[in-house]
Amino acid sequence: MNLETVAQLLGNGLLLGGVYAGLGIGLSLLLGVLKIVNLSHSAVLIFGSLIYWELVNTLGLDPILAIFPVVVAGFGIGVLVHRTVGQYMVREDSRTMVLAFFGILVLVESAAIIIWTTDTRTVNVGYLSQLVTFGSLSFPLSKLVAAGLTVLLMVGLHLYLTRTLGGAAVRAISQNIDVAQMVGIDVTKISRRVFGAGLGLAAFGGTVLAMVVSFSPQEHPRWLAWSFLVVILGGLGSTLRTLSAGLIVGVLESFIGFLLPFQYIYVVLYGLLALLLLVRPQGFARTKQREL
Amino acid sequence: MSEPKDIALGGARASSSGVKKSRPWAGALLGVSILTLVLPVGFGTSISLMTMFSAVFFYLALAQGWNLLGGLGGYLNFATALFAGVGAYTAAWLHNQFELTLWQTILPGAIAAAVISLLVGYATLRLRSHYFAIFTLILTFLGAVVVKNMPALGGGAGIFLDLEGEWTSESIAQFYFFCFLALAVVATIIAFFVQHSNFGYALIAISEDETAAQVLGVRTMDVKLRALFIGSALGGAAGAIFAFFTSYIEPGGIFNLDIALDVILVCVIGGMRSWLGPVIGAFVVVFLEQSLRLLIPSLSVFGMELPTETGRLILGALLVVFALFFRRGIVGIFQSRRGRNLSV
Repeated sequence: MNLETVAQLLGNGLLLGGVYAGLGIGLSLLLGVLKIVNLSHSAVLIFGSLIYWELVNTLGLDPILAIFPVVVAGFGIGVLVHRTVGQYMVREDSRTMVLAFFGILVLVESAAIIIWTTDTRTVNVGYLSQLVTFGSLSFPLSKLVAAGLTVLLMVGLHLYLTRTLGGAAVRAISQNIDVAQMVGIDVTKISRRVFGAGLGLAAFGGTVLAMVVSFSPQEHPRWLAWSFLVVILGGLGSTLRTLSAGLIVGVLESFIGFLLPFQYIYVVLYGLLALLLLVRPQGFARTKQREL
Repeated sequence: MSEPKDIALGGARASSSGVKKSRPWAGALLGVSILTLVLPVGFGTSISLMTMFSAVFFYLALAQGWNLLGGLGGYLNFATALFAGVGAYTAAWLHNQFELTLWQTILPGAIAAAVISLLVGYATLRLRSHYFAIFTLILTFLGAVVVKNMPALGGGAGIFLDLEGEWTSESIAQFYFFCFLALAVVATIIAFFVQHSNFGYALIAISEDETAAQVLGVRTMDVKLRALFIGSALGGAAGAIFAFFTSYIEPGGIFNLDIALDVILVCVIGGMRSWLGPVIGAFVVVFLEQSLRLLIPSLSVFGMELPTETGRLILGALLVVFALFFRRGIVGIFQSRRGRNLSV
């Protein structure tokens, strides 16, 4: 393994990792702010991929522009779900919520299979499929765009959460929802937006995923595993840590995939996940989060 | 070490018997009468009826195992298919490699599943319950990937069990009817005794408030691990019988979230806090699924035939409805709420 291979693998891994960070961010937001375990995260994600596929392959939309309607639709559906059942689910105990989300997972997955069957699909990314070369290294433009968009989005989200008043309200809700209400934050409205953003970001993850890999509706638990790994590794409460966790997972997968037969990726990454849960369930976070 | 354990769990019994007068003999009577009602199905009825009841008992056994940790303890385990699959593959492999019979493979199947459950449990049961839920959900997928890449277990193509013997299809259906019935009875008896023991009270304490239970001296990790262990051993045994029953297993079919969905539906629809819940739920869910399977191809919406996934869609919706609005299941309808719920 010479230096050039290492550089190429590292580059591939970082780009892949950018996409993986995009997979995890929706899950992380809902878990961190609303304490919602969105088991249906990956089903929503793949549903987003399929709609994106439909927009790009069937309607011939530009692969970058087609991301927006999918994300907006995800956000809208999220707000709608929150308005109907979501806001009651949030107040339930976590077991009821997990059961309900498992039901939603089955619903979304079955709907996807009914509409799109179980075929494996690849998005025809058109002009994004060309290679970009940096010296001796070359990367597909689609990966660069997917990772770049995710990084942009996550940095933007980080700035929003840390530098604006709206972001402070979201963080207040994540710290203590009752006190947030007492100090005059409209908890219901902001929770609704965060819930919508959680599903919208899941849909965004689906679009960037669809840009770089082939996917099929029934294999979505794989992406739940990856998202969960990113969330656990990054810990809750910081977008930038989630981003770096995604990059680490991507680089790891890239190197493991080069050194070992591909199916070992699953075993190694699951082993890593189990190990993390054992020794450091709070992720990179310096201190353990306080729970009330 | 025995003395501290008694103290640790003794408190749980004292507080719980104060608010709830259970009548175990009434439950036992009910169980025996249900058993005498279903027993005649095994004699001289049609093959399809016996097969359907076999499915009921299969899910009943899995659900009783699941209900210990999931229903009483509040830790939702979505890896039922993994533990049943480990049992099934162990049985199939032992049968093809060493020509062991069904009876000789049930125990190894159960042990293999229980050992896997210990590994999973040590890694995840210390965490809050929702991490456990996600982790077990993705484990089923890992099981499928690992088995698909193991040539010794047939890989993606699966394993055939070469069963010989001059049995009529009727006697086969009858045989497995009684196999699954026996397992379901064993599972129900275990669930019954767990529910009326300190162990069961400790599990309920964990589901109500784990930190408080810990403070009161319940060794929560131990209790949760034991519940997972028993549940997955039952799952492994059910999987072992299942492997012989279908005589062909493949990773995509057995490491499938549908099994987890069915088992959870059984518990949620029946009622999660009682051993009786899965008994009722298993009958309801299997009959419901059978009728959906028969009904859906005959229905058409706007001239289009409904795909088979529609049944699954309905089951998913049903789970959401029951989880949110009928949290105590069918059993809950017949029980008046005893005692009080205190929250701090």
